[in-house]
Amino acid sequence: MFRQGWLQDLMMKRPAVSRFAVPDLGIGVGYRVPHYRQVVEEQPEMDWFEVLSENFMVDGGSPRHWLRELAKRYPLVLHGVATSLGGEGDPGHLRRLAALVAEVRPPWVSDHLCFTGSHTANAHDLLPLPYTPEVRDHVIGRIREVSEAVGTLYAVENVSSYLSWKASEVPEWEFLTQVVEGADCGILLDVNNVFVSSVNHGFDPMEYINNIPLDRVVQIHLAGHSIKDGYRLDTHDGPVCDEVWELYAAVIQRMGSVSTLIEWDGDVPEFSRLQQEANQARTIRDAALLALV
Amino acid sequence: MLSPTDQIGVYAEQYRLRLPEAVIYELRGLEALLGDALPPLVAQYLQHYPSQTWTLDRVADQFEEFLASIHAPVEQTDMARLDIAVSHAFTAPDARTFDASTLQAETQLVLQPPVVLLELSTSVFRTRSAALSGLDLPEMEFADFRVVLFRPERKIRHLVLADAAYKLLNAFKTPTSLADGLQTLSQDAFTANALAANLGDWMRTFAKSRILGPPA
Repeated sequence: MFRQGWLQDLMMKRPAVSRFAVPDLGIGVGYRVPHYRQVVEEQPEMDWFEVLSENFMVDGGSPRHWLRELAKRYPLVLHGVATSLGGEGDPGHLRRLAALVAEVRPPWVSDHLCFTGSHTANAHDLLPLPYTPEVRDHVIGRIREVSEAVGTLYAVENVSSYLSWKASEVPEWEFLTQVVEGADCGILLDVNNVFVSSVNHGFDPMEYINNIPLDRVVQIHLAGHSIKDGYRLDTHDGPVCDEVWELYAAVIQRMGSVSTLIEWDGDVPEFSRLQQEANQARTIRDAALLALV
Repeated sequence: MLSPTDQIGVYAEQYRLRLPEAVIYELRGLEALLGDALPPLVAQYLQHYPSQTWTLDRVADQFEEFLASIHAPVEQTDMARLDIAVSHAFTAPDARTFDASTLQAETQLVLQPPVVLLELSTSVFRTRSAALSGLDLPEMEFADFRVVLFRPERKIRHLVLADAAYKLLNAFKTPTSLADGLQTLSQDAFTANALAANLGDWMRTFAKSRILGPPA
């Protein structure tokens, strides 16, 4: 199922764009409940899948069945939402994540650069961090702890945010850079999140892209978002917008081809619609690469 | 640019949308029973029982306790207990199987991980099954029901048990030999008679349905 076009073959002969020895899996989509049976039984064309770690961090039953069946058919990567790298961490969560990674053996594992709540209440949301040296050092320690537990390459994703802290001392891209270099980990670059946050906080998205270590990017996320009254909301419930496609092309031109994932979590459409979106990403990626050749 | 209050408001609004939805997802029987009356209860529940765990699967676990605290009708507390039991059974470790024809007195057996034994005062299991099958809800029956939930493969099923069969299963909450399990029930003449008459059929059902099985 691993799709390799002529252009990608050509790119594979170039020096690795990432400092980490990770494969370029191509263009993938998220593995979501409405598509489990279809994906397993019909094996539709798709380069790879990303699965939400927490959905499968259970002891048995249907979720584990559909994960085992997917792993037999496609490359897959684990992506979490509840590690809370800015928080205290939950030993039970980490133990289950490590067990899942040992079973699935993905090329990398990721979660978000955020916190999800306190010890008295979990918001089940990706809450932005204050960009301070104290928080940076805490997050670096947490990433090292999680990386060691899972025993594979770890990557952190930039979140969409709607709130900024007065305490922050550096811009988000500088904080991200300090964290990934301090923890020596990868980046899951969510291009849609860069764009959404750039609108919400009034910065230039290219300044963000130009000031992070792109050789640490192991994966890209693309998604749709919603335009609200006075801000953009990362809703993952529609197609990728033109501005985000343009930003994606700019990223590819700066760093070459990298595993790319379309996220579509709300109002999940037919799988064929996801394939269309993945093909759009492939077309834009290939055009960006052609400009390099 | 949003004001600081509005910035926090975005997250507050997302919380108000996301968490009730996650709770209601775990309470599908109660949703069928209560309809539009459920969301206000869920909002009240989240005020008193904010999620303290990383998994949304467990976000409704204290709903029965909450309903009891507000003196909700028994069919509501029963349904909440059933919904949460189903949620636990859904992701429990897979059940192991055994061959009932090879049973010996010393064979060690235990309730399999997805199995939940429920003592209910209402026929909420019928209501839930009908609702999830898209059928009209049957009239609620108020009586004592002994129900076992089990998951032979991936789908959750239930059986309504005779008292003696329910007592028999209770004897296997921890790994117990068949002989010891039966011994605990033999002092009750009624139970002993029921066991003598039905034990073979029950054990075949418990084996086939993966309700009882060997310890892990």
